[in-house]
Amino acid sequence: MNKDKPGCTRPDRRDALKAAAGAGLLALAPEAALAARQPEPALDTRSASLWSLWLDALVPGAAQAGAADYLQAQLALPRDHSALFLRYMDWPGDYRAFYRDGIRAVDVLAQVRHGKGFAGLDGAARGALVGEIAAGAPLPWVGPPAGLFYFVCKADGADLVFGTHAGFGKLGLDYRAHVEPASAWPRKA
Amino acid sequence: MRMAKEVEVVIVGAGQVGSLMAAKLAAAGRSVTVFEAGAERGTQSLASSQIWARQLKGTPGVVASGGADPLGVNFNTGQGAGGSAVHHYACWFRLHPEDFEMRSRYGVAADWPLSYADLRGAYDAVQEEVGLAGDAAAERWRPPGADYPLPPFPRFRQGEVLARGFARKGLHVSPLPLAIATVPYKGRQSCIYDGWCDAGCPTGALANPLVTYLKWAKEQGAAIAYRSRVVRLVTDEAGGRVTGVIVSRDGERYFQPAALVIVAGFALETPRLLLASATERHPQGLANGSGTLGRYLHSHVAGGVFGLFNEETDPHLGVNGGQLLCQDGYAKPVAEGKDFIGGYQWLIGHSAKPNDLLGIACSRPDLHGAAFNAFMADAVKHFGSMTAVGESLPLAENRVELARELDEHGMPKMQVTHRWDDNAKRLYAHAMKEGVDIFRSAGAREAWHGPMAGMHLLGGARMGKDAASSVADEYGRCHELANLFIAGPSLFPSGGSVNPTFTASALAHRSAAHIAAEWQRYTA
Repeated sequence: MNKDKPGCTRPDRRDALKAAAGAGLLALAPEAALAARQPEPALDTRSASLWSLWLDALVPGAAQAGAADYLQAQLALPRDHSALFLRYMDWPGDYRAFYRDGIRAVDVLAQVRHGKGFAGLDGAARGALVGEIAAGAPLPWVGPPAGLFYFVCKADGADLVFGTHAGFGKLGLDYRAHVEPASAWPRKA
Repeated sequence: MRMAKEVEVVIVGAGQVGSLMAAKLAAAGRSVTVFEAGAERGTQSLASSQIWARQLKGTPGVVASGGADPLGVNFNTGQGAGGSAVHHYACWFRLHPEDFEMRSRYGVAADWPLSYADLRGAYDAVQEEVGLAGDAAAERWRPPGADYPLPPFPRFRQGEVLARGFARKGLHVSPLPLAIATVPYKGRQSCIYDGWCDAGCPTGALANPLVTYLKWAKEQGAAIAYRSRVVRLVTDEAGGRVTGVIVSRDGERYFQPAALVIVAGFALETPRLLLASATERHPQGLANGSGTLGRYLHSHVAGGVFGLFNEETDPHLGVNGGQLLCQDGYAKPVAEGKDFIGGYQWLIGHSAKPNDLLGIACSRPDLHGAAFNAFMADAVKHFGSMTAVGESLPLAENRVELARELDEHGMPKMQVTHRWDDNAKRLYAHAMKEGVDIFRSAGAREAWHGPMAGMHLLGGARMGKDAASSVADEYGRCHELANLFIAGPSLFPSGGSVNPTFTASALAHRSAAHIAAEWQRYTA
């Protein structure tokens, strides 16, 4: 029980889960344990890096809050276990393709507008590009609907920057958990 | 195919109404098995996080939610024990008497096959069982019924601020009636107003099925089979009775015989299962002689109104459903200054988290970068919000159909089609204008509204007196099959302007009592 708040349960679930996960890894040979800790990422390194930059332009602080890890972790989960905001949008296609194609479309648009990829742009240029994508009709754009991609990614950024314990703290809010989440976001066991 | 031992009652779906009927029929001495396609879970799995909470939302087998105005499917559905009710906000209202007579009074939609008077006793019984909190006297619009068993919710600063706006416009508010314990009730703790309703309420204050009907069903001896997808209903040769169901679990299919079957799979899965159970005798799907199965799918017209105030509003306190209610706009007819049929209500003063679909962040999709972060820092202390829940008239073209693609159980997936009619669009525009005016009257320094959205899934297997235009009768019994029942909002011929869980529960309560009393009639 959470002794600080009557009527509020805060079991040692997080510790129990960590212990269980640790015990599982110890039971494996070192190589196998390493492999278990490093599953094949859903996005390649360049796409993950671009995603972090893109998300940081949408919601400053998202990269530092773990944008790349968040997306890789969610894309590694089965669809019915995913915590991605995209889940609300009834997106019928593959979640990986949604992000992979959207990130690529952002980069291509940056190339067309500025002669260099999104990573090479300064803050003002990135902001202007975000505004164009948010308006929903940038050209060229080959990917998921631009307005949807912007909306979903911004919500992802809000999750990362404002939706965790740390995020609440930055806003001066008490998190007031009843059952503490095992971690900031789900990941494959 | 393996055959399981026969049971008296099979129920498809362990959500709100499936759990309720299981509890009632098991208590009446019937052997009951509930098949739930999702996983088992308890209150300790309900993590306080809007990120983790998405795992409670459904991922039904929908290949596409399309049409001119696609319905939001995943957000409005659930999966696993308790179904969508695990993440519902417990805003429990009675329909008004006129909601049952939309065709005969106003010439639109369809009449229900029963009246408010027929359902009143079940409303009273359900509210006593689960514990509703409210102030019946303050709800000047409330139909006749027993007083609430629990005292109303307290008003926090956001509620005080917004109530000021309503008063200045000459409108009335009351405490919001909620299926949430304001004092300890039947072993459940009282609410501590931290706003984690959407993430599931692990304290048990919110009367979701995990702490009410599903729990009671298990205590009464009902068996709950999880990760068990019913893929087909089986009928006898004559096609007049259901003999059982085919269940898919862990890659195996088996036949579960039953004397009576209740489909409680919500507005999409219920028609899906009936359509997927077509036979030579029922070529359009079971209980679809009328051709209405899957049709008249509808939703409430919803729109959020938001604002920022100079004073602090404590928007994080309270419950997600809101603090206050206004039904001054519930009247149906077109009138001066009202160019639409149907009414709406205001749910006022939501407890809002910083993130998520109904959180503060999504109220300003236009902002990004430093401007967005600055807005968030301001809004967490000064934000206010309320939601209009309006009536939409069911259209035959709005429907769920089977798709060609199969799911992992070999069952056809669904295609959902929906559009709003002009009446719904006028209602939405009217309500949003009023809402922004109310915020300004309350003293908001900024006020704006959100897009037109669908809230709740209703219809798809509507009930009625006429078998030529409906799927089931007033108890949810399918017109064409003696022992096949439907429970849940899929039965609604129309949805009024109120959240549906209380009415769906009252209907199920009444039907369960009827089935228990008339058992021989349906199973002989």
